[in-house]
Amino acid sequence: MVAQLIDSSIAALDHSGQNHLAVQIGLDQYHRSFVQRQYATYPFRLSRSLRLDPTDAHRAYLYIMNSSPGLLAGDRFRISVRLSDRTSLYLTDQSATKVHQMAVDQLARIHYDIEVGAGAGLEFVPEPTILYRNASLEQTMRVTLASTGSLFLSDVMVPGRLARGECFHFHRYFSRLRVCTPDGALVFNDAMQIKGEGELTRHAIFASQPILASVMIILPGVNLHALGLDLEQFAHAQTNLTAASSPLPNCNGLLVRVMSSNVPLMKTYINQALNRMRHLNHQPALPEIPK
Amino acid sequence: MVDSRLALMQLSDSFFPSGSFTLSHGLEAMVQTQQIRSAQDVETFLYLLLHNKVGCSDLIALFHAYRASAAADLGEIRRADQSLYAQTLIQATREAQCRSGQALLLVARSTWNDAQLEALQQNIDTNQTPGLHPIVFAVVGRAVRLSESDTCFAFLHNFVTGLVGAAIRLGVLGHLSAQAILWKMAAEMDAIATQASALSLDDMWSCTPAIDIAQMTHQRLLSKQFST
Repeated sequence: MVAQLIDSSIAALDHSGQNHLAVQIGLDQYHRSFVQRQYATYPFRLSRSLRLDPTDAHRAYLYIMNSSPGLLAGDRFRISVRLSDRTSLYLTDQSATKVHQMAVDQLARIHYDIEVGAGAGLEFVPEPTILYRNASLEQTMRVTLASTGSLFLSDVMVPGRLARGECFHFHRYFSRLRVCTPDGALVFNDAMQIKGEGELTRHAIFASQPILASVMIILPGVNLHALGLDLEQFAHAQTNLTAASSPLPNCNGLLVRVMSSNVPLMKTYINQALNRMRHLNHQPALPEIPK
Repeated sequence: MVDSRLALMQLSDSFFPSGSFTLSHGLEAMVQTQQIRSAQDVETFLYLLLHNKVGCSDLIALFHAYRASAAADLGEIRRADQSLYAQTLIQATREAQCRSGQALLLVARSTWNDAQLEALQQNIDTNQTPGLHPIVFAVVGRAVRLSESDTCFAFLHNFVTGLVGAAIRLGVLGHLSAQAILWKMAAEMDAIATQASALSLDDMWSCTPAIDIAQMTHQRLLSKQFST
């Protein structure tokens, strides 16, 4: 069924002119997750399935590789990821996504379509998105999550090349995450929009810690209260990072909002959150992810 | 028939016991952490909340619920309620919205006779819909024969005066500055009402990360005057 969906979406996209990556994760006879099917057009490629943790043969580690310089005006990127039942995947990319300068009336779009099957677990930890001066980006993500599926999802937005004083000089950033059940019912919706040159971004409430991140953690059947407390303690010990968490609606999940002025610290925090989630779920710690 | 302007004043008065005047929407946490210290900061806080949260989520749901209520479509009222619930990601805010919605409905049912208010209460009691404050406010506004626009402005007036009152009680705003801010916010309320009235439930968004964090940490403040 999932394979048919992938095939039909690929057939549709062959005529759309979009840049597309589609991957389906299956389970082999040794209960190892592997890339059962993949399709990629320029600029995407997919790494082979890596076993970065020798103690955890079940989980596949994959890198999305992108040979383009970043997102340019008019780009339409589409990434589809399907996890079959009981599979496990850590997915990341090689480097930050740069969204380049474009004309006022133009924008780049990236859409993710993710399905997580029953008992499957997806950890999607992309590198930050950097919005250059005059960039416009619309990022949408739809996640279809089985009731026993688990999800760790991070999204980091850097509002410019901060070291050269470029901060909130982009045109517009729009991001929408919709998480739904397999029968289409909405679980939650996290949509945000920032107009970079707008009045709002000049205030200290936004500008003092301009790097923004959201982390979604959904782990059925596990009490996440301790995870929230752990993450708050970690954040309290940092001077350049502010974070807090809250239970999500309609699921056993946690939303973590993070603000920082330092990208490496933000990434450390996200890895800490993932490690704590794995610990709660009795899974091995995150291995080194070479980049 | 009683002039609807009297109902408008009754509904938007802080004397009306809807419970929404016990909320600081993260202001108290931001005052305690010194992120908000002056009248200018309060104005920024209000501006951010109006433009990046209330106007682009609560108000859209309110307009949708009002129109569904006027069309006697309880299913659509529930859809607006559930959409707003799924968009309200902070638990403390969801719970506060449910509490103040329930309080408003309780007072409205004991004050005005309307079959839809009773039906909405039954839907909430049977967990068919959460009964968030903006949704209940829309149905109550329709029940007391306010126009869509008046219901929207009564809701916004409630929200802004509640927050300005909170700022006074927290000691970051004087009464004179409060009135000046209320007057400045009138133009902002007008702008977001116009925008929200033309948007659909699928268009809802919000972006107030610092205020989100303040709302999430409010429960752990050592001493607090407000419930959120």
